[in-house]
Amino acid sequence: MALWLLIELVIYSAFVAAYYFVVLLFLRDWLKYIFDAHKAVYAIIALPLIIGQAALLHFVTLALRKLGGEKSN
Amino acid sequence: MDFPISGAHINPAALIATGFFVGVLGGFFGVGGSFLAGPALFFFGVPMNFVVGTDLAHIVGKSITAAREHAKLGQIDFKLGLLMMAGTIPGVEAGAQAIQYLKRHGNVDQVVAFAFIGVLVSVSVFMAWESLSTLQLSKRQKRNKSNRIGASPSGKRDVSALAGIAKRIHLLELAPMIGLPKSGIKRISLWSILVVAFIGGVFSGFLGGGAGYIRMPALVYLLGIPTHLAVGTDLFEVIISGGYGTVTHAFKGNVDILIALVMHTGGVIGAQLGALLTSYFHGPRIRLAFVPLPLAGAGLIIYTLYTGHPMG
Repeated sequence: MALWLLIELVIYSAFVAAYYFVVLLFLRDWLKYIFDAHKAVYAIIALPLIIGQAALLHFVTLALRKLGGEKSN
Repeated sequence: MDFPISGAHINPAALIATGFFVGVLGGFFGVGGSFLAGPALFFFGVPMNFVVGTDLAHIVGKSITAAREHAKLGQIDFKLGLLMMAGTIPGVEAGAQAIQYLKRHGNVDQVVAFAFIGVLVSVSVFMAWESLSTLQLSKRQKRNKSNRIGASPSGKRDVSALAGIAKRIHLLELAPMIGLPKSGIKRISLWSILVVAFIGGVFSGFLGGGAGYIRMPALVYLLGIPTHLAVGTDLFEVIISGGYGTVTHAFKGNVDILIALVMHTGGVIGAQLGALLTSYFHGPRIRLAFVPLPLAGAGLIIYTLYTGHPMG
């Protein structure tokens, strides 16, 4: 189980690195503009952004865990 | 790299590592980790008003999946959680308004930093005292049990040195009185629930994070909620306070959502590692191992205040 967690960590790290660049490159300037110009819109989209990321990463870890379970069987 | 919303310059790897470490602690100790995430952000040079708002956003992402797991296991008292919302939301707003007041007067960093230090040291001292008292109590109970014939060796009931306080609060007759059947409470004043929720909300809105360090002990020791239900219900409440806190602080210009998003990516895998570690290390002494962590957070804040050199 610990070995699979290590493998999961490597796969997850690669995924996060890619995701990280997507988020930062595509969202950074747009979010800064919204923050400066439309605080109410920024407040409304901030919460769904973090909830959406939590759901996405939860899905990824579940998928990896399922894959790990199948491998170890 | 630059995070233009808060104007902070932070190495993203340090943010992911912080999220990972906080995630490990969350998975291992079952805590949100704002006692370390908040001080770490301040240490990285994030202004304190952004520390508070950003940590609230970060904690929402962390708590949603954990609360879902607790809900599946039936470990959330939804009636209690929904009643608490009526105290939590005004509490968060009061905390957020206090941050705005301090921002206008230009001393938000110092005041929040000192409040943080006071809370973190108090939490450590309380946890140390309570853990040691409880360990002594359970040792005495074990000795008494072994003297009795037919005593069950595996008592899984909650053992606490502060059980008497909740009983006294249950006797408080202040209408309206309600029942919490899921938590095994026949009658309790609604006001005691609202006061606990409001105080938790104020801490959450003023210091960021879920304020589990206040709400969890209050649920167990003051309201007498069983620990497994208190953990789940606290997580439900963290989503409410974090969700409302994120929106109201973002509206007030106190949330750098980019920092929260980057930090949260490390937290997800860290939480899994933390949960795995609990199968290797467990037992009542775990709570004692938790004691130095809020002190480490306080140390980070003192260092940052003293040196004035943010690390990015």
